[in-house]
Amino acid sequence: MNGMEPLFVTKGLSVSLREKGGLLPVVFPADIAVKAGGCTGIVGESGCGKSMLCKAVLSLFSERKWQVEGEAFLKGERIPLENDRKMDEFRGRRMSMIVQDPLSAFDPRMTIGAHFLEGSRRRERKERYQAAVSVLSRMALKDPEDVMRKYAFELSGGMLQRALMGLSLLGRPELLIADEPTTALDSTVQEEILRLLLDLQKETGLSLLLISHDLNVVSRMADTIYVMYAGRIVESGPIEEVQRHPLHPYTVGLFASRPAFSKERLSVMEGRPPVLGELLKAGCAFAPRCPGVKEECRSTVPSFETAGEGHLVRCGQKGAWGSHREGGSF
Amino acid sequence: MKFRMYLLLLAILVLACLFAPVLAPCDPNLAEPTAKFAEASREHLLGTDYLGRDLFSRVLWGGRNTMGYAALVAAVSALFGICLGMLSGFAGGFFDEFLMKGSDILRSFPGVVVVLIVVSIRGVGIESICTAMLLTRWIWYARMARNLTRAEMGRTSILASRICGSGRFKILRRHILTAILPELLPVLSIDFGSALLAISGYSFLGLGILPPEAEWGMMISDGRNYMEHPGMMFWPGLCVVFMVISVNFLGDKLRDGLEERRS
Amino acid sequence: MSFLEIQEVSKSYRSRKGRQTEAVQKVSLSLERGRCLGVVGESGCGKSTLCRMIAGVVRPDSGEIWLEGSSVREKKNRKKIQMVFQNSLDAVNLHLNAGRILSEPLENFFSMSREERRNKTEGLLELVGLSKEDAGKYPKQFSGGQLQRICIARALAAEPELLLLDEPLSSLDVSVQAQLLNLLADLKREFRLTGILVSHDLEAVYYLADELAVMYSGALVETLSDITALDCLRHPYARRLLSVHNGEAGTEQAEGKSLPEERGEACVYASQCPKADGLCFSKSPELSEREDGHKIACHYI
Repeated sequence: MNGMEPLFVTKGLSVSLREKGGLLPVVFPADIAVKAGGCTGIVGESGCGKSMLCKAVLSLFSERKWQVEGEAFLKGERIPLENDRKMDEFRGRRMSMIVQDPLSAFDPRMTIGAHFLEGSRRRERKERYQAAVSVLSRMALKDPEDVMRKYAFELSGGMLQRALMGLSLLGRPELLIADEPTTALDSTVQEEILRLLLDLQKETGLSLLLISHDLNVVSRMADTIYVMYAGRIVESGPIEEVQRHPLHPYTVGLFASRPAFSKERLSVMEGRPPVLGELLKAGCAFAPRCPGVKEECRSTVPSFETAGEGHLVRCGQKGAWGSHREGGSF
Repeated sequence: MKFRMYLLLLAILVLACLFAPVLAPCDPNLAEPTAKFAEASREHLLGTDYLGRDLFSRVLWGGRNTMGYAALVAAVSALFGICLGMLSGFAGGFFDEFLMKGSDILRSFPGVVVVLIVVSIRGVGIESICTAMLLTRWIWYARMARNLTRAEMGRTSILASRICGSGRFKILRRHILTAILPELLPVLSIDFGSALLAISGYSFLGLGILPPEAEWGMMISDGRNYMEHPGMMFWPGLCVVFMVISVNFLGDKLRDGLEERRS
Repeated sequence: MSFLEIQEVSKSYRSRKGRQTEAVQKVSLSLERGRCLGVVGESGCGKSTLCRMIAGVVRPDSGEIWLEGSSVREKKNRKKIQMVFQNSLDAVNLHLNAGRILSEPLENFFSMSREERRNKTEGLLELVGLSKEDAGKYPKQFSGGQLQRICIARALAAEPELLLLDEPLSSLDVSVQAQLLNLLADLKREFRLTGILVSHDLEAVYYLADELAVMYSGALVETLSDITALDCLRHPYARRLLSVHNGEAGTEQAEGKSLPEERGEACVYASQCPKADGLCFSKSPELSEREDGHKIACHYI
């Protein structure tokens, strides 16, 4: 786009579940990119494969159950997804992750502080402790030393998410993957966490890959958006562009699904997303729910078409249905 | 496939024992001193024992006794234990605490000790053994039913049912019983096997069924003295082993089926 | 007296350690027939407890709730108040099929023949957008949205006069939420239902409700009888909630000035409020009417 090399890219990254009868695709080959210092958002509903995609990036799958294909690059360097030992250099160091349920990310038998000191040699301890205190106070935790003495279950959801962010950012990662970081939190706390993430980005140039089902969150945070449906990316592009001219009927539907402080009847997508076993069916996965469906949609899976600068859409009608419609009010 | 075969054999054995009065060719207690240790023949399918009694008839009649008492013990203790456990879990509070503490105390007596105490009071006999077994076995059911009930009570569905206007009895029957019974069935099946084993065991020791009545455990015990005629020990022994294995198998299968349905 | 009258109800729970937490403190509300009240607040602010007290299945420590002049805990009101819960999978018996789930209130509240009951359940399934054939399916065979529809149908089966919705949408996907919001709006219009919608989602509440009540930490901090006048909200917590939903840069917020457990007589929001001073920590403000149909509990507004 502006010639700047993205910090992180995936090329044809796909995830499949190994089943008795063969491979069951969960995520079809996906290309995503995160700009240095930018934030890329992936939006989709539960089961669309967005979490699977980011787990694949960190190679968090058991080899026996899942098959990951394709490549991913961080700063032009290939990430060794297939090699667990070599992944250690990336996982948690150059790339780290925060999750929806921070309670599960902490060991209940260890204090928060112990998580920070884990794996450090004795003479590094003091240094590491100081680093932990400073990173936690950066996370707007009032009394970091007190937090470090506590166990995970003693903290509120918001505080725990801050602590997890601190832990993830301790090693100064180049990329932070945030998988639904605010979904379990109250809206006011959610706002605080999002603002904190924005501040961190501004100050430290942190790059973010944000996964969320909440378009509000993504549109606040991200510069680039990828919309996923049934294991495929169906639309991608700069956030303003996609927001203004959503082309894929699913994107249009998602934007229109929020009431946005009006009492007007919502225009909804009927039906439900396909489940795991149905992903292999012929044709566009959205066809059964699509209001502008044509005959060919049911037989061939559409490929990506360019719809504008950096704006791609995977729709057989080239988004004809979406484009003559006003974008959802947001 | 293998499981179906087990099930079929199990059904055949159970039915054969159940219809022993019809199927058995001879009176199981009729001694024929002239035909001691007879070989298997058309007349005596499995041969005869040391008193010349027909082994085949004795195995069938013995199975009737062993299985009948085991089923009685398992069923009565299950019924009593489950009812009490459900009520205790449902009522909660003081009643629940009292019952659970009480069962803790009872549980601390080993089953064998209880059997010995009852036998020493009431004398040797199958009634004593059954009484003693009933005294200890219901506790397991009560505790399991109680814990399952407590777990079920914590679900919103119970609250929803109250809002739908259902009374206590209806909630117990329709929501709690339907939820906990599938969990208890495999246990019941396995427990039947263990009751069977216990009854044959006590009879083997001579504490249970009194001669001349046939019973598998006692028949094995009799066979011990005549090792040169292994049939006397082999057939009842085979029946006991087969029964216990297939009943445990059935329990496991039930549990697997349940887990499959739950996921 | 209004259709639903809540008079100073309080409820506190005692935790294992013996610490008392006040889930709901002295909440008073009233609701006219045919209106829908939205209650918003964060998780743990006592809105679910309030809902259960209104349903008559949790007894308030003090205060009373009246439905048309009789206590909601009376048996005759059982049929009149029905409720839909957040987690639909937890709110149904997994071992019964949809038809039997729906027939439970029918058995309890109406004398119907088996045939009539079956017709009624099929009608209910169609009312909430499912098909007759779904009656034979078990809860695990439905998606979250479908199961929530069944719960709504179960609540409607009793033909209630007051419908309580306790976070009915929060565990569902966005597009499914939209479907259910439309369904609820249709049902509300069709049956002229009186309802209470409890949610943390101000947007969804705005869509469905006519009136608004904002709760914080067990107490009402602001009520508004016309939800479309949302911009009139003035309590600092309500403002903050509103700004978050509008995606604005929110108002500044003071962080914990005192320990929340030893709150005593302080205002519930004092420890979080940027404007709080000595008065806020020593005396809790009354919910008082400032304009027509607009009540605020704050000393300084």
